[in-house]
Amino acid sequence: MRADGKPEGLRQSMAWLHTWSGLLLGWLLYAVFFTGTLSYFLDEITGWMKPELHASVPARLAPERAVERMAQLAPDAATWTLTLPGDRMTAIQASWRDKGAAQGRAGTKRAELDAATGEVIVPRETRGGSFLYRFHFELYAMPRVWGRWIVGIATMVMFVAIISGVITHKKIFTDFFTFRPRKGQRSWLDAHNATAVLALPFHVVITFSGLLLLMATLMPWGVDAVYKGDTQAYFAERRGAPAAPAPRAGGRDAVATAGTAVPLAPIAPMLAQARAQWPAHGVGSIVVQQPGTPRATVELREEGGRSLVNRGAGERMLFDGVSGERRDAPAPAAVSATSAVYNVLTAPHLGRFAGPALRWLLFLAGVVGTTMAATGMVLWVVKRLPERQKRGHTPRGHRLVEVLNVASIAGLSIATAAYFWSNRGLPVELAQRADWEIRCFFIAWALCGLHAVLRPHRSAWREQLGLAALMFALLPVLNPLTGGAGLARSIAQGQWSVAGFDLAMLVLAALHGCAAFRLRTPPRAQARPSPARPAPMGRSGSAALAAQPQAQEQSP
Amino acid sequence: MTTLKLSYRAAVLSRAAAAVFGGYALSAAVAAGVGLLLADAGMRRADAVLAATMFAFLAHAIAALWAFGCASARRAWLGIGLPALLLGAIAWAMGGSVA
Amino acid sequence: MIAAWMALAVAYAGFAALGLAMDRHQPQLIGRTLAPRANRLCQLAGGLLLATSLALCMATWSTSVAIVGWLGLLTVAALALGVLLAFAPRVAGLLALAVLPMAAVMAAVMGLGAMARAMA
Repeated sequence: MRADGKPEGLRQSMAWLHTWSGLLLGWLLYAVFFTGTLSYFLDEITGWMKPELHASVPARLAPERAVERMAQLAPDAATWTLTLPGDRMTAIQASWRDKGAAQGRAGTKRAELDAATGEVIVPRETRGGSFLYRFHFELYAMPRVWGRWIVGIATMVMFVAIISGVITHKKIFTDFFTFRPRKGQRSWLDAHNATAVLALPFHVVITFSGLLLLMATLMPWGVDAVYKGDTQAYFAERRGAPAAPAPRAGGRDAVATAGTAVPLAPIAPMLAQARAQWPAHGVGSIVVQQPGTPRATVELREEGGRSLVNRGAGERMLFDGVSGERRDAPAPAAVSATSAVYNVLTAPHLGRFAGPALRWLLFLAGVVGTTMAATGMVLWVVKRLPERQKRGHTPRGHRLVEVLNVASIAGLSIATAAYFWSNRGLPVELAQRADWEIRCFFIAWALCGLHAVLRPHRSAWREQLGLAALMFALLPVLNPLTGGAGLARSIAQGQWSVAGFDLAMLVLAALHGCAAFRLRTPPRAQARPSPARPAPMGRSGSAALAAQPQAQEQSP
Repeated sequence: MTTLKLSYRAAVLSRAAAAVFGGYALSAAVAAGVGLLLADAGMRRADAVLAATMFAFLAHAIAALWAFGCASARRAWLGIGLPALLLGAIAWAMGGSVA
Repeated sequence: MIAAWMALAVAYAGFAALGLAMDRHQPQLIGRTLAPRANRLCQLAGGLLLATSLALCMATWSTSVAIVGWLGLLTVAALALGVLLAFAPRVAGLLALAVLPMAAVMAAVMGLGAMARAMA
């Protein structure tokens, strides 16, 4: 929009809209992108944050032991579910529902079992990766609905920013592979364009599907009008016509268990059949209905999914629980065209279907998107530096953007590293330690905000990026020292979820360290002589914190 | 920063309001109106609602782009408000309660 | 899984061909500019290679998953080319030339393997 009110073309108006919509919510969107990208590895993060579980080695899985343990833990349960360890988790996740238990999560009991022995492991209390995942769409410390509304509004603004960005990007094809480093503002614009365009399908799908996933909160008016407000009926019809009442209805069946506990058929032959049929992904979970009764059934579910059209569900195999015979699994409900569109759009967002290779691709696309948000906000500052030079001072609005940029980008990295550090640093017996870990995250973030206010802009970036690099780099060292499986051990035993976390921390340390290192030398045109001062932080990864004299320091 | 004219600020505010609030009203009307129309046309109810809601989000985005891309703030409101009223009226007439 | 890696290599080559079709990148990749007709040929080759990449993804995954995987591989390939063009332009071109014969050899090996299994 032009200040003089003259008419302007579509590209100009979209450029204005893109800049303002991107800036005003960019800080929140960066946090949403960052935590969302990490959430692709939610299980792995939670696993690393429970070092007690690292004793369990997935390769030594003995499912029979786990089944025996379940018979001891939950002999009268209506359902057992065992999620098997593998690439994403090192221990068995067991859950069960007693007969007549409440619906949903309230009625579900959980335990974690060692893969080889079936022993129950009691890990330290932690929210693990779930904190980051929930923050991603519900934020924290506010009623869930508020969090979803705030993130939902930001998502719609992001959607508008993407579309306006594409409209305004005149040379989208000519500039496709163009990246000109070391050219100041031009380089930042190239980086922003490249990260935006080269993963554009991902950004569009993720953003739009984010809206869809929140639609119960944001856009209930369709259900309201067509179902006259009966949301339960809507969800029931979405899931497909309810099947004939299965024998799992809690508490209503008079099962004659008086003393006649029927042993479950051996599980090993069932697993062998399933693995033969699913060589690529293997068995993800075992679900036993009515264990210990004559009507027990065992359902094996494939790990991951084959197609996105049916919500990324894999195949299933059903067995009679007593005889071990194969039964026909009920055919999955047909998926309507509209549901298929919804499923295909939301599947890459949730990523539940993805095997290791696809999961890393999704993660990479998320990193690209996070970088897109960050480069956009830095570009806003860099683009206005000449204007500031002319005025001779920094307007308050610009300074605010600078401070928020450092705090919300570099500060968030430090806060996340602090969260992981607190997981190992806080005592295991501390009451409400899960809440305290989260408090450490926010305290660290707040301190970064304060630091960003007090320090000159460039120093603030360098110091925070350097600290983040150091904190990430030391996590793989901290890991074995505080009860976890170190890299040597986790790689040797094939515990790729734990090793992957440590390796990812090293990659993050390298990225932050490179950025901090690039900020060591002052910008060319702006160097002002000032007394030599030792730099507060050495290069990432170097154990010696030797002070290095800085010739000049830029303080805008 | 040179002080911006009041008329400029008013125009920005007006377009923003059209984009945010007008856009939401339009999307709600689309969700309800298109949902009822599709269900009436024979689509399964759950599918009709799902499709209409997807269109609703698209409508809001397009409304925001229109609000800032069109020639004047007045056009912004007309282009968003009229379709919203139309679809809202259809939804109301078809007996759906747009609470 | 091999097909997925091949899909990545072929996608890279495809993008390199598309880059070669642009006046801006010809000096970086091959040290000189080409005639406009050569540009068209490069675009065609690039498009065919990208389509081949999609076909290889379809051989690994079901259709819906294949499209997601293909788009992800495209991002990796395009980013790699962009970074190489900026910092090591000659390597960018050489890599494209190298992957094609490699991909061809792997395709031949896979084809022979499939024939052998069919005949066994």
